[in-house]
Amino acid sequence: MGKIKQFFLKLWKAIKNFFVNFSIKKVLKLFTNTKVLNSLAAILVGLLVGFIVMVFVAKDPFTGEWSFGTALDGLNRLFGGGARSPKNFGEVLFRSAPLILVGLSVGFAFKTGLFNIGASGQFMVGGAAALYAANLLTLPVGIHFAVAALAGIIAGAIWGFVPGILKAVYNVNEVITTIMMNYVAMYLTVMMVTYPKVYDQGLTAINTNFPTAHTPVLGLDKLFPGSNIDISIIIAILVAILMWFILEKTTLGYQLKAVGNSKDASKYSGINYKKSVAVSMMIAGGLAGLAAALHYLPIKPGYFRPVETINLIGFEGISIALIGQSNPLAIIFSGTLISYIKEGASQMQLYGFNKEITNIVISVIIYMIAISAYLGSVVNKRKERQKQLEEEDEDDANRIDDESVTKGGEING
Amino acid sequence: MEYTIEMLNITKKFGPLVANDNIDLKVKKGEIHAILGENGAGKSTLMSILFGLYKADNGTIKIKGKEVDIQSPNDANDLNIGMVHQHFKLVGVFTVLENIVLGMENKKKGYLDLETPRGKIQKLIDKYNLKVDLNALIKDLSVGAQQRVEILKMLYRDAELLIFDEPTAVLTPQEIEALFGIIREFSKEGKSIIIITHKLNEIKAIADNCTILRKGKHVDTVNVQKTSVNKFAKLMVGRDVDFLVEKEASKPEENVLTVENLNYYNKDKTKKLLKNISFNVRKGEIVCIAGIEGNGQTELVNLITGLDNINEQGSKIILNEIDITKSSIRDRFEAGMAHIPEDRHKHGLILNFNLAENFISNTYYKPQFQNRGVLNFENIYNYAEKLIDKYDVRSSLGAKSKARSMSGGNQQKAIIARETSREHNLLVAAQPTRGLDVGAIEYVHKTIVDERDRGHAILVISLELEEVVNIADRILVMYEGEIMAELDPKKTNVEEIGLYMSGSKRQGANGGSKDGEN
Repeated sequence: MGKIKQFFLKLWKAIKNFFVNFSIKKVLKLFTNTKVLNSLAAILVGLLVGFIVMVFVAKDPFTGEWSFGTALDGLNRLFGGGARSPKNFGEVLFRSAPLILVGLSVGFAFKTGLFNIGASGQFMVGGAAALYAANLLTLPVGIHFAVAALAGIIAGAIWGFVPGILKAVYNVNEVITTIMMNYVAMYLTVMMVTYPKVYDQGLTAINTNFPTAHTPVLGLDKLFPGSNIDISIIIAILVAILMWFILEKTTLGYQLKAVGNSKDASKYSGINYKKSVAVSMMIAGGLAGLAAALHYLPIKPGYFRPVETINLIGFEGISIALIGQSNPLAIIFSGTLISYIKEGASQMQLYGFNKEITNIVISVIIYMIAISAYLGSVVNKRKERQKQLEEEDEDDANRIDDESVTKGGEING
Repeated sequence: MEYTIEMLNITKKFGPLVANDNIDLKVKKGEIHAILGENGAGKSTLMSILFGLYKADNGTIKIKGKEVDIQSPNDANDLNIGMVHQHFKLVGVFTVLENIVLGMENKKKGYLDLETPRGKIQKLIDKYNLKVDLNALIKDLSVGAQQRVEILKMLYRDAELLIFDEPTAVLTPQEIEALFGIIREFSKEGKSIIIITHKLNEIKAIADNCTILRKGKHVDTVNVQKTSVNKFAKLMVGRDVDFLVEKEASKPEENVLTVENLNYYNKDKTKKLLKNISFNVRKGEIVCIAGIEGNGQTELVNLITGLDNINEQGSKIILNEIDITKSSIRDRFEAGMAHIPEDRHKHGLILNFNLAENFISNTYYKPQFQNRGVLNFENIYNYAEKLIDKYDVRSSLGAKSKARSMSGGNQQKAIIARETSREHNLLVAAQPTRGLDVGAIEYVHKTIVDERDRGHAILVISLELEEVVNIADRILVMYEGEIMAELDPKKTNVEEIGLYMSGSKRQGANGGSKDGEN
């Protein structure tokens, strides 16, 4: 117990430091970081491409003729829709929590050298388990929610553990097993949904009337009146910080990253490779399971219907992890961004645009991020060349070099 | 006389590190020119600049007196410069022929034409006796044959200046002799050759002139015939080098490591790789296992250190009176073992981690570095600074340098620093000087002897006979998975060990038992 308490004390200290040291200067510095700049540029290019598509398909809602003005309106909604009112922004935050967690699921696995394509399956079983706990148990408010969320986490973790242990013991590629597990989850949940004790004929989905198990709102709706916001966004942010803390500051994260970087070297170092892989996949699965709980438990929940399709959210998680470059803290922003664009897209429909345009925007963003590494190196090269030209004019350059060499020699000698 | 190639005042910096500082290099037609230097002296950087892989910050390159601008390896090819890299650049699943024409394919009506080049290449093969099957796949060839393919690649492109980067590192003595024969042939024809190496006897054997680099600076260019090996070593390292390791007689005490009846089969149990191996290592002595590569040494080390698991009943490994036969690697470390692995890239280092993170790779869980699962970075970096200082590990960014970015010698130093700094009384060192230069080898040997004098037991596996004779207190010779002999280095010589190594001699009936009363 003391161990866990100490751990949370440290974590709390890290969070506190994070906010105490928070300053405008640091934020500005963050924006000069090339990685951040690349991501921002990629997002802008994505929106621009989305706009170009809109220009082509824009039709005036009344006359039905091509209209540039409609395209501008659409862009306005896509770009600004999420921030039109506190209600809209509250909705963005509300929808972003599951996205952030699914992004974390993929990103965390990726940081430890594993590719989790199975976030969808983990999400589906996690959602079913959370809804079962919400419908079948009778517990006080708050505790009921926590138990239901925990059920989601455990189910997701089991779904991640299976590919993890297969990879660890039999070296089966996790990409294949997680995809398979998606299908298993799909058929399993179809069966689970129609269980009479939880199934609601009218909704054609799992019953969503479980007053004690809903995600608590804690008055956040006063900040964003009219929206469905609840504490899920706070949970998502705290979990992201926790994941960052685990990866960067703990021995567990050190082990997982070591195994992800070099299986052989970690084995040589005495790190339990098999355990690490299994633990990593379990954590990834648990994150996706929690995402599902936060998707299905709110007062305005998602509906769990017996449909034989794989929930696409796991693949959105891959996008989110890619945009956030697998950094847990960056994934908070990339998840929110996707949610923001989606909110804009739903408003864009008012002007007759298909909301699938967002998929184009998101794909372009991912492409741009993928090539930004290349573009960045080109820019760096050009910078270096310019520096070189400048240095050629200065005869002192060589003398400085000599000094640094002899200095190095003294230290080494 | 006109020079084939002149590199004048070449300077190249990587961040704060000056890899090449005002270096001059001139090579005449038909000359074999060696470039000598320790790991990290700037040899490879200089050649990469010549071959267009890097661009120099400063300086000029002239070919046959004309100034040229080499932007890429393609430019170098056009200027008839060819290079055999230390790590070959071949496509494993392509045939030899396809690899040779790759990048210069002949086309006939838009289709790939392999027959015209085949004739030209076959002529080259016959002319220089570079035996290799043009239809074989690269992945099926030995390293020596792969190197011949690389040489053919250069010849096919009509290279006039041939650069060899550490060409002998992967070859057997016979292959080295053959390679030198070919190189001499090239020089007779008027081709110019540059050989990068840190093996002094090879320079004596093949080169005409030698340029010596040290810490990125040009030390001297000398005539090989007029310079002694000792002089070379001094120029390269910057001080006199002891080829002989100075050490006092060992005073072995109690047993630290005991190996009993070790048997080991390969994966499908068709071949016995280790047969009844029994020996011991005592406190205060260096036991060396000699043998030709592939005679079971790697398997033996892997079993002792836990990288592989025992698959035969009755085998026993005891360390400090603890039976570690089936222990995990961490338990073995805890029992007092330190291990310098054979492959420093695969096992020794996590290449994407920085130096400090690598220093704690097998001790990160100790209270010194963590508290209740949270890493103590202050201690970790302090510890790293201490080791960097004590072991003189050089890198561009100190404790924060990525292991990948460091030179081979410094990577090995880092591993040695990590292994000898943590608590242990047995050091298992598998080929600790593989691929290192004279200065670094001397350093490793001194460290190993120091370790012994601190009262540790040392087990060294080495393929270099001279190293074995130099540092061992007791020599075990392995051949086909068996210990053929136990020898006293003072009473034996290289020739005798060679006989045991090749299996043509065997000591007594139960050769290499655990009697150690010499």
